[in-house]
Amino acid sequence: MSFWWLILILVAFILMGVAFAVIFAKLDQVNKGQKKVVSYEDQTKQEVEHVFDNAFREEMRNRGRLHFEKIIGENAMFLQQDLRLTTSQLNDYMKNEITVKLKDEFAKYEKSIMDAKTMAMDSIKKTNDAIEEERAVVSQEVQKQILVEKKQIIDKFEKNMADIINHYVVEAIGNQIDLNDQLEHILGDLEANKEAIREDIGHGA
Amino acid sequence: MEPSKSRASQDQKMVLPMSIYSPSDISRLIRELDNLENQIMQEQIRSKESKLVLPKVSQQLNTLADVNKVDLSQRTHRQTLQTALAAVKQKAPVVHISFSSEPSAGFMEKIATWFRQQTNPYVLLTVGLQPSIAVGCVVRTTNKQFDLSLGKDLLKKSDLLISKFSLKEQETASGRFMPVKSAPEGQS
Repeated sequence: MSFWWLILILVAFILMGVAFAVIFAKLDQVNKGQKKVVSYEDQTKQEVEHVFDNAFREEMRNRGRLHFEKIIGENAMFLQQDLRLTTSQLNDYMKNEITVKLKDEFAKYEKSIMDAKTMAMDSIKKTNDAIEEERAVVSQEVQKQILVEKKQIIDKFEKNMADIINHYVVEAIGNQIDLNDQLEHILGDLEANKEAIREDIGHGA
Repeated sequence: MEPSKSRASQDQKMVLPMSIYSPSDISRLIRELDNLENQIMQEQIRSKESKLVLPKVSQQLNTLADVNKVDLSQRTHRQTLQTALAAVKQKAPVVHISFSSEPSAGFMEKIATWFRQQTNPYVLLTVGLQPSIAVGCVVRTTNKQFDLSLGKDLLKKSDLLISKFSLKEQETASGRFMPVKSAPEGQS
């Protein structure tokens, strides 16, 4: 846009130069008809004042103002476009960076969770192994105690088996056994211990 | 029994009937002889008749007199008998026998018969009761005790019982003898 402005300015200067030349020629013709001698400097000044009058100046100002506003507008538009592009790029960049960061953090978090999970699993496994070992030891101990207890019960039962059976017989048929039916059995037992009984009675007598 | 014989020989020759087997029997007979003596003496004092009417005596005393050919109407015989009974009470060995229930008199006579035939003819028996015996008896002599009960017999044969029990347990464990399942209620 500055190129066109430059061209415009050049064209304006060229037009001003042409206008000045025409005016100067006319003045020269006028001055030839007049008998007053005016200096070129004064003439130039007069022509310049004649060309660059207030209206022209105002016109030029307006044109300059419009052009400036136009340029400002265009630059603002360009700036806006640039800002938008930059904002968009910045958003994309931020988005990407945040995404990457989040991914990294999530990856780290996931890794730490997996590590914690692995450690927990290892710990649980070790605990289970320890419990299993302890259970085996306790089970063996309990089995041993059960066997000992069982053996004690059996020994006690065997030791008292005669009493148990005797008690059972007494309870079951104690009141049904007639003493007279036992006479032969009793006499047989007495006969079996006859010598000892006789010896002791003889010593006592 | 002849009164002219010595007391030692009379004591040895006195025969105790099997129905008289306990020290209490002897004591009772001694008391009965004392009472008889007193009664006869009172009767003789009361009545002047020469013929003596013998008061009624127990079956045991009668049996004792019959077995030993003692005339209870004669004083010397009575005194001899009394002396012999006192000697028996003092010197006779006493055996205590415990049974599960009260034995009958006939039962005790047979037991007394065995003791007097096999050990000493003047053995006296005292009877005790031990319901826990169930079968058999427990004999207690002067210095020893003989447990002839079922419990003792079972104790002696406990090894046999244990071996049988173990054999049964092994057979059950091997599965050859499975326990019979009882039928559910309501089904035949």
